[in-house]
Amino acid sequence: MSVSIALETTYRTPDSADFAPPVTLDGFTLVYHRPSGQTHMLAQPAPQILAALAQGDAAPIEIARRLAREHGLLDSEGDVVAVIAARMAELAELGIIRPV
Amino acid sequence: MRYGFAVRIGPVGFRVGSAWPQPLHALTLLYRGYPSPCEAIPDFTVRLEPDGLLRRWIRPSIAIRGDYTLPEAAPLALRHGLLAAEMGMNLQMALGHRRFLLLHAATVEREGRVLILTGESGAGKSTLAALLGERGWRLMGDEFALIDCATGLVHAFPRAISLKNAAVSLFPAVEPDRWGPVLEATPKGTIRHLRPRHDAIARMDEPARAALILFPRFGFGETVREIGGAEVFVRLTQASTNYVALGEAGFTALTGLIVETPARAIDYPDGPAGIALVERLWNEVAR
Repeated sequence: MSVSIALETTYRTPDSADFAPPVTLDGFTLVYHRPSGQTHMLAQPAPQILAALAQGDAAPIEIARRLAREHGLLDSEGDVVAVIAARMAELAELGIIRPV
Repeated sequence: MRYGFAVRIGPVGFRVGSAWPQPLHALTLLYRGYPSPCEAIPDFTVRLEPDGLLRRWIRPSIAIRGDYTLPEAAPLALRHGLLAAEMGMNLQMALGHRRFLLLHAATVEREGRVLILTGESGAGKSTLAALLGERGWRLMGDEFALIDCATGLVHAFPRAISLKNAAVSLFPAVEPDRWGPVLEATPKGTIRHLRPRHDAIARMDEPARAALILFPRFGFGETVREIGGAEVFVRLTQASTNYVALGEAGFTALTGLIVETPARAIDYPDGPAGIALVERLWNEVAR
Protein backbone atom coordinates (compact mmCIF):
# COMPACT_ATOMS: atom_id res chain seq x y z
CA MET A 1 0.00 0.00 0.00
CA SER A 2 1.49 3.34 -1.00
CA VAL A 3 1.46 6.20 1.45
CA SER A 4 -0.56 8.38 -0.95
CA ILE A 5 -3.44 5.90 -0.80
CA ALA A 6 -3.14 5.41 2.96
CA LEU A 7 -3.36 9.16 3.50
CA GLU A 8 -6.87 9.18 2.15
CA THR A 9 -8.09 5.99 3.74
CA THR A 10 -10.70 6.49 6.40
CA TYR A 11 -10.47 4.00 9.22
CA ARG A 12 -13.30 2.73 11.31
CA THR A 13 -13.53 3.42 15.00
CA PRO A 14 -12.31 0.30 16.80
CA ASP A 15 -14.97 -1.42 18.88
CA SER A 16 -13.83 -0.96 22.47
CA ALA A 17 -15.25 -4.39 23.30
CA ASP A 18 -12.57 -5.82 20.99
CA PHE A 19 -9.84 -4.92 23.48
CA ALA A 20 -9.01 -5.87 27.04
CA PRO A 21 -8.08 -2.83 29.16
CA PRO A 22 -4.64 -1.79 27.86
CA VAL A 23 -1.61 -2.04 30.14
CA THR A 24 1.26 0.42 29.94
CA LEU A 25 4.69 -0.97 30.76
CA ASP A 26 7.87 0.95 30.49
CA GLY A 27 6.68 3.28 27.71
CA PHE A 28 4.98 0.51 25.74
CA THR A 29 1.25 -0.15 25.66
CA LEU A 30 0.15 -3.78 25.68
CA VAL A 31 -3.10 -4.39 23.90
CA TYR A 32 -4.95 -7.69 23.96
CA HIS A 33 -7.10 -7.96 20.85
CA ARG A 34 -10.01 -10.26 21.67
CA PRO A 35 -11.11 -11.24 18.14
CA SER A 36 -7.64 -12.49 17.16
CA GLY A 37 -6.44 -13.53 20.63
CA GLN A 38 -3.20 -11.69 19.94
CA THR A 39 -1.26 -9.42 22.24
CA HIS A 40 0.29 -6.38 20.60
CA MET A 41 3.07 -4.32 22.08
CA LEU A 42 2.54 -0.81 20.81
CA ALA A 43 5.04 2.02 20.91
CA GLN A 44 4.10 5.68 20.54
CA PRO A 45 2.23 7.00 18.64
CA ALA A 46 0.11 3.87 18.00
CA PRO A 47 -1.77 3.93 21.36
CA GLN A 48 -2.48 7.65 20.90
CA ILE A 49 -3.76 7.00 17.37
CA LEU A 50 -6.12 4.31 18.69
CA ALA A 51 -7.42 6.68 21.37
CA ALA A 52 -7.95 9.44 18.81
CA LEU A 53 -9.70 7.07 16.41
CA ALA A 54 -12.02 5.97 19.20
CA GLN A 55 -13.67 9.44 18.89
CA GLY A 56 -15.01 8.53 15.45
CA ASP A 57 -14.11 7.23 12.00
CA ALA A 58 -11.28 9.28 10.53
CA ALA A 59 -8.50 9.50 7.96
CA PRO A 60 -4.89 10.13 9.02
CA ILE A 61 -5.14 13.89 8.54
CA GLU A 62 -8.09 14.09 10.92
CA ILE A 63 -6.26 11.90 13.44
CA ALA A 64 -3.32 14.30 13.22
CA ARG A 65 -5.68 17.21 13.98
CA ARG A 66 -7.15 15.39 16.98
CA LEU A 67 -3.68 14.54 18.30
CA ALA A 68 -2.58 18.15 17.82
CA ARG A 69 -5.62 19.36 19.70
CA GLU A 70 -5.20 16.95 22.62
CA HIS A 71 -1.45 16.79 23.01
CA GLY A 72 -0.39 20.10 21.54
CA LEU A 73 2.72 18.41 20.22
CA LEU A 74 1.85 17.68 16.64
CA ASP A 75 0.61 19.65 13.71
CA SER A 76 -1.32 18.29 10.80
CA GLU A 77 1.31 19.01 8.17
CA GLY A 78 3.46 16.90 5.94
CA ASP A 79 5.63 14.32 7.70
CA VAL A 80 3.41 13.98 10.73
CA VAL A 81 0.42 12.94 8.65
CA ALA A 82 2.59 10.53 6.65
CA VAL A 83 3.88 8.93 9.84
CA ILE A 84 0.36 8.60 11.21
CA ALA A 85 -0.84 7.14 7.90
CA ALA A 86 1.97 4.59 7.95
CA ARG A 87 1.18 3.58 11.55
CA MET A 88 -2.53 3.31 10.76
CA ALA A 89 -1.77 1.12 7.76
CA GLU A 90 0.27 -1.14 10.04
CA LEU A 91 -2.53 -1.26 12.63
CA ALA A 92 -4.96 -2.18 9.86
CA GLU A 93 -2.63 -4.92 8.65
CA LEU A 94 -2.62 -6.36 12.16
CA GLY A 95 -6.44 -6.31 12.17
CA ILE A 96 -6.59 -3.84 15.06
CA ILE A 97 -8.37 -1.19 12.97
CA ARG A 98 -10.18 -1.47 9.64
CA PRO A 99 -10.57 0.72 6.62
CA VAL A 100 -14.13 1.89 6.10
CA MET B 1 -0.62 -50.65 31.52
CA ARG B 2 0.95 -53.42 33.53
CA TYR B 3 2.28 -51.23 36.36
CA GLY B 4 0.78 -48.01 37.72
CA PHE B 5 1.57 -45.14 40.08
CA ALA B 6 -0.46 -42.07 41.02
CA VAL B 7 0.62 -38.88 42.76
CA ARG B 8 -0.52 -35.33 43.34
CA ILE B 9 2.03 -32.56 43.02
CA GLY B 10 0.50 -29.29 44.15
CA PRO B 11 -2.86 -28.93 42.39
CA VAL B 12 -2.10 -31.45 39.64
CA GLY B 13 -2.83 -35.17 39.78
CA PHE B 14 -0.80 -37.60 37.67
CA ARG B 15 -1.14 -41.25 36.82
CA VAL B 16 1.96 -42.94 35.42
CA GLY B 17 1.61 -46.30 33.73
CA SER B 18 4.59 -48.39 32.73
CA ALA B 19 5.35 -51.61 30.90
CA TRP B 20 8.22 -52.20 33.36
CA PRO B 21 8.27 -52.05 37.17
CA GLN B 22 11.68 -50.34 37.55
CA PRO B 23 10.74 -46.73 36.65
CA LEU B 24 7.76 -46.82 39.00
CA HIS B 25 9.82 -48.28 41.81
CA ALA B 26 12.15 -45.28 41.59
CA LEU B 27 9.17 -42.88 41.37
CA THR B 28 7.51 -44.44 44.42
CA LEU B 29 10.65 -43.96 46.50
CA LEU B 30 11.18 -40.39 45.32
CA TYR B 31 7.55 -39.37 45.91
CA ARG B 32 6.81 -41.24 49.13
CA GLY B 33 4.73 -39.08 51.44
CA TYR B 34 3.18 -37.11 48.56
CA PRO B 35 -0.63 -37.15 48.47
CA SER B 36 -2.74 -39.10 46.00
CA PRO B 37 -4.71 -37.28 43.29
CA CYS B 38 -7.78 -35.56 44.75
CA GLU B 39 -10.20 -37.16 42.34
CA ALA B 40 -10.56 -40.60 40.88
CA ILE B 41 -9.52 -39.28 37.47
CA PRO B 42 -6.10 -37.59 37.54
CA ASP B 43 -5.44 -34.50 35.45
CA PHE B 44 -2.83 -36.22 33.30
CA THR B 45 -1.72 -39.69 32.35
CA VAL B 46 1.82 -40.61 31.34
CA ARG B 47 2.56 -43.97 29.75
CA LEU B 48 6.01 -45.49 29.51
CA GLU B 49 5.78 -47.97 26.67
CA PRO B 50 8.22 -50.10 24.69
CA ASP B 51 9.45 -48.20 21.66
CA GLY B 52 8.51 -50.99 19.26
CA LEU B 53 7.34 -54.58 19.44
CA LEU B 54 10.40 -56.23 21.02
CA ARG B 55 11.74 -53.28 22.97
CA ARG B 56 10.11 -54.47 26.18
CA TRP B 57 12.76 -57.21 26.37
CA ILE B 58 15.57 -56.63 23.89
CA ARG B 59 17.65 -53.53 24.63
CA PRO B 60 14.54 -52.14 26.29
CA SER B 61 13.82 -48.54 25.38
CA ILE B 62 11.04 -46.31 26.60
CA ALA B 63 8.75 -44.20 24.49
CA ILE B 64 7.12 -41.42 26.49
CA ARG B 65 3.42 -41.32 25.72
CA GLY B 66 0.40 -39.88 27.47
CA ASP B 67 -2.49 -37.50 27.04
CA TYR B 68 -0.09 -35.20 25.18
CA THR B 69 2.82 -36.47 23.13
CA LEU B 70 5.68 -34.98 21.17
CA PRO B 71 5.97 -37.15 18.06
CA GLU B 72 9.67 -36.43 17.59
CA ALA B 73 10.69 -37.24 21.20
CA ALA B 74 13.58 -39.71 21.23
CA PRO B 75 13.12 -42.89 23.30
CA LEU B 76 15.14 -43.35 26.49
CA ALA B 77 16.96 -46.41 27.82
CA LEU B 78 15.15 -48.38 30.52
CA ARG B 79 17.87 -47.44 33.03
CA HIS B 80 16.73 -43.82 32.53
CA GLY B 81 13.11 -44.74 33.27
CA LEU B 82 12.79 -42.27 36.13
CA LEU B 83 13.88 -39.45 33.82
CA ALA B 84 11.34 -40.66 31.23
CA ALA B 85 8.56 -40.47 33.83
CA GLU B 86 9.62 -36.97 34.94
CA MET B 87 9.89 -35.77 31.34
CA GLY B 88 6.48 -37.25 30.61
CA MET B 89 4.92 -35.41 33.56
CA ASN B 90 6.56 -32.13 32.51
CA LEU B 91 5.38 -32.64 28.95
CA GLN B 92 1.77 -33.07 30.04
CA MET B 93 1.98 -29.84 32.03
CA ALA B 94 3.67 -27.89 29.23
CA LEU B 95 1.29 -29.03 26.51
CA GLY B 96 -1.94 -29.57 28.35
CA HIS B 97 -2.28 -27.50 31.49
CA ARG B 98 -4.92 -24.76 31.34
CA ARG B 99 -5.95 -24.01 34.92
CA PHE B 100 -3.00 -21.77 35.75
CA LEU B 101 -0.69 -19.55 33.76
CA LEU B 102 2.47 -21.64 33.58
CA LEU B 103 5.91 -20.10 33.61
CA HIS B 104 9.00 -22.18 33.08
CA ALA B 105 10.51 -21.09 36.37
CA ALA B 106 11.66 -22.19 39.80
CA THR B 107 9.92 -20.71 42.82
CA VAL B 108 10.78 -20.45 46.52
CA GLU B 109 8.86 -18.78 49.32
CA ARG B 110 9.72 -17.04 52.56
CA GLU B 111 7.32 -15.34 54.95
CA GLY B 112 4.43 -15.61 52.52
CA ARG B 113 6.26 -14.03 49.59
CA VAL B 114 7.55 -15.78 46.48
CA LEU B 115 10.78 -15.42 44.55
CA ILE B 116 10.41 -16.44 40.89
CA LEU B 117 13.60 -17.56 39.13
CA THR B 118 13.19 -17.92 35.41
CA GLY B 119 15.47 -18.33 32.43
CA GLU B 120 16.60 -20.77 29.81
CA SER B 121 17.78 -24.29 30.59
CA GLY B 122 21.24 -24.16 32.13
CA ALA B 123 20.69 -20.72 33.68
CA GLY B 124 20.89 -22.38 37.08
CA LYS B 125 17.37 -21.75 38.33
CA SER B 126 16.84 -25.32 39.57
CA THR B 127 20.15 -25.33 41.39
CA LEU B 128 19.60 -21.91 42.95
CA ALA B 129 16.09 -22.85 44.06
CA ALA B 130 17.33 -26.13 45.51
CA LEU B 131 20.13 -24.36 47.39
CA LEU B 132 17.65 -21.83 48.79
CA GLY B 133 15.32 -24.70 49.69
CA GLU B 134 18.06 -26.05 51.98
CA ARG B 135 18.60 -22.61 53.57
CA GLY B 136 15.34 -21.60 55.18
CA TRP B 137 13.22 -21.04 52.08
CA ARG B 138 10.28 -23.23 51.13
CA LEU B 139 10.86 -24.78 47.73
CA MET B 140 7.68 -24.39 45.69
CA GLY B 141 8.99 -25.90 42.48
CA ASP B 142 11.99 -26.13 40.16
CA GLU B 143 10.18 -26.43 36.84
CA PHE B 144 6.92 -24.49 36.69
CA ALA B 145 5.50 -21.46 38.47
CA LEU B 146 1.70 -21.77 38.51
CA ILE B 147 0.03 -18.35 38.45
CA ASP B 148 -3.63 -18.28 39.44
CA CYS B 149 -5.37 -16.17 36.79
CA ALA B 150 -8.10 -15.06 39.21
CA THR B 151 -6.02 -14.13 42.27
CA GLY B 152 -2.51 -13.68 40.85
CA LEU B 153 -1.16 -15.96 43.58
CA VAL B 154 1.67 -18.37 42.86
CA HIS B 155 0.86 -22.03 43.51
CA ALA B 156 3.45 -24.67 44.33
CA PHE B 157 4.41 -27.57 42.09
CA PRO B 158 7.15 -29.16 44.21
CA ARG B 159 8.17 -32.16 42.16
CA ALA B 160 11.54 -33.76 42.74
CA ILE B 161 14.33 -31.38 41.72
CA SER B 162 16.31 -32.42 38.69
CA LEU B 163 19.98 -31.63 39.35
CA LYS B 164 22.47 -31.95 36.56
CA ASN B 165 26.16 -32.81 36.50
CA ALA B 166 28.28 -30.81 38.97
CA ALA B 167 25.25 -29.31 40.73
CA VAL B 168 24.79 -32.57 42.67
CA SER B 169 28.03 -31.95 44.59
CA LEU B 170 26.64 -28.67 46.00
CA PHE B 171 24.44 -30.61 48.43
CA PRO B 172 26.81 -32.62 50.67
CA ALA B 173 24.60 -32.29 53.78
CA VAL B 174 21.40 -33.64 52.26
CA GLU B 175 20.04 -36.81 53.88
CA PRO B 176 20.92 -39.80 51.66
CA ASP B 177 17.33 -41.02 51.49
CA ARG B 178 16.26 -37.85 49.68
CA TRP B 179 18.30 -38.69 46.58
CA GLY B 180 17.05 -40.63 43.58
CA PRO B 181 19.36 -42.93 41.64
CA VAL B 182 22.29 -41.50 39.69
CA LEU B 183 21.25 -41.43 36.03
CA GLU B 184 24.43 -41.37 33.97
CA ALA B 185 24.86 -40.55 30.28
CA THR B 186 21.34 -39.23 29.79
CA PRO B 187 20.70 -36.80 26.92
CA LYS B 188 21.08 -34.04 29.55
CA GLY B 189 24.26 -35.45 31.10
CA THR B 190 24.35 -36.98 34.58
CA ILE B 191 21.12 -36.34 36.47
CA ARG B 192 20.10 -36.98 40.04
CA HIS B 193 16.70 -36.14 41.48
CA LEU B 194 16.44 -34.58 44.92
CA ARG B 195 13.34 -34.92 47.04
CA PRO B 196 12.27 -31.53 48.42
CA ARG B 197 12.41 -31.05 52.18
CA HIS B 198 9.45 -32.15 54.25
CA ASP B 199 7.97 -28.66 54.63
CA ALA B 200 7.88 -28.17 50.84
CA ILE B 201 5.74 -31.30 50.51
CA ALA B 202 3.58 -30.68 53.59
CA ARG B 203 2.79 -27.10 52.49
CA MET B 204 2.32 -27.73 48.77
CA ASP B 205 -1.28 -26.47 48.92
CA GLU B 206 -0.30 -23.03 50.28
CA PRO B 207 -0.12 -20.40 47.54
CA ALA B 208 1.63 -17.06 48.10
CA ARG B 209 2.09 -13.77 46.29
CA ALA B 210 5.06 -12.97 44.08
CA ALA B 211 7.54 -10.46 45.50
CA LEU B 212 10.52 -10.60 43.13
CA ILE B 213 11.29 -11.97 39.66
CA LEU B 214 14.91 -12.80 38.86
CA PHE B 215 16.40 -13.86 35.53
CA PRO B 216 19.59 -15.62 36.64
CA ARG B 217 22.54 -16.59 34.45
CA PHE B 218 25.11 -18.98 35.86
CA GLY B 219 28.83 -18.83 35.11
CA PHE B 220 29.41 -15.10 34.61
CA GLY B 221 30.91 -12.36 36.78
CA GLU B 222 28.43 -10.92 39.24
CA THR B 223 26.15 -8.26 37.76
CA VAL B 224 22.66 -6.97 38.46
CA ARG B 225 20.61 -5.27 35.74
CA GLU B 226 17.29 -3.58 36.21
CA ILE B 227 14.90 -4.55 33.44
CA GLY B 228 11.82 -2.69 32.31
CA GLY B 229 8.30 -4.10 32.31
CA ALA B 230 8.15 -4.44 28.52
CA GLU B 231 11.27 -6.62 28.44
CA VAL B 232 9.99 -8.66 31.38
CA PHE B 233 6.75 -9.18 29.48
CA VAL B 234 8.55 -10.45 26.39
CA ARG B 235 10.78 -12.75 28.43
CA LEU B 236 7.89 -14.17 30.44
CA THR B 237 5.72 -14.84 27.39
CA GLN B 238 8.69 -16.82 26.06
CA ALA B 239 8.95 -18.61 29.41
CA SER B 240 5.27 -19.47 29.46
CA THR B 241 4.06 -22.71 27.96
CA ASN B 242 0.40 -21.72 27.80
CA TYR B 243 0.18 -17.91 27.57
CA VAL B 244 -1.38 -18.02 24.09
CA ALA B 245 -3.75 -20.87 24.95
CA LEU B 246 -5.15 -19.01 27.97
CA GLY B 247 -6.16 -15.98 25.91
CA GLU B 248 -7.29 -12.90 27.82
CA ALA B 249 -7.03 -14.63 31.21
CA GLY B 250 -3.32 -15.16 30.53
CA PHE B 251 -2.87 -11.53 29.43
CA THR B 252 -4.52 -10.23 32.59
CA ALA B 253 -2.59 -12.58 34.88
CA LEU B 254 0.79 -11.94 33.28
CA THR B 255 0.52 -8.16 33.05
CA GLY B 256 -0.82 -8.06 36.62
CA LEU B 257 2.19 -10.05 37.82
CA ILE B 258 4.61 -7.73 36.00
CA VAL B 259 3.01 -4.51 37.22
CA GLU B 260 3.10 -5.74 40.83
CA THR B 261 6.50 -7.41 40.93
CA PRO B 262 10.00 -5.90 40.60
CA ALA B 263 12.40 -7.75 38.30
CA ARG B 264 16.16 -7.98 37.85
CA ALA B 265 18.52 -9.89 35.55
CA ILE B 266 21.46 -11.29 37.48
CA ASP B 267 24.71 -13.01 36.52
CA TYR B 268 26.55 -15.05 39.12
CA PRO B 269 29.77 -17.08 39.00
CA ASP B 270 28.90 -19.93 41.38
CA GLY B 271 26.35 -21.23 43.87
CA PRO B 272 27.50 -19.38 47.02
CA ALA B 273 27.74 -16.06 45.13
CA GLY B 274 24.30 -16.68 43.64
CA ILE B 275 22.78 -17.31 47.06
CA ALA B 276 24.37 -14.17 48.52
CA LEU B 277 23.15 -12.08 45.59
CA VAL B 278 19.61 -13.44 45.85
CA GLU B 279 19.49 -12.72 49.58
CA ARG B 280 20.77 -9.17 49.03
CA LEU B 281 18.23 -8.41 46.30
CA TRP B 282 15.46 -10.00 48.36
CA ASN B 283 16.21 -7.56 51.16
CA GLU B 284 16.69 -4.52 48.91
CA VAL B 285 14.21 -4.94 46.07
CA ALA B 286 11.48 -7.50 46.87
CA ARG B 287 8.06 -6.02 47.45
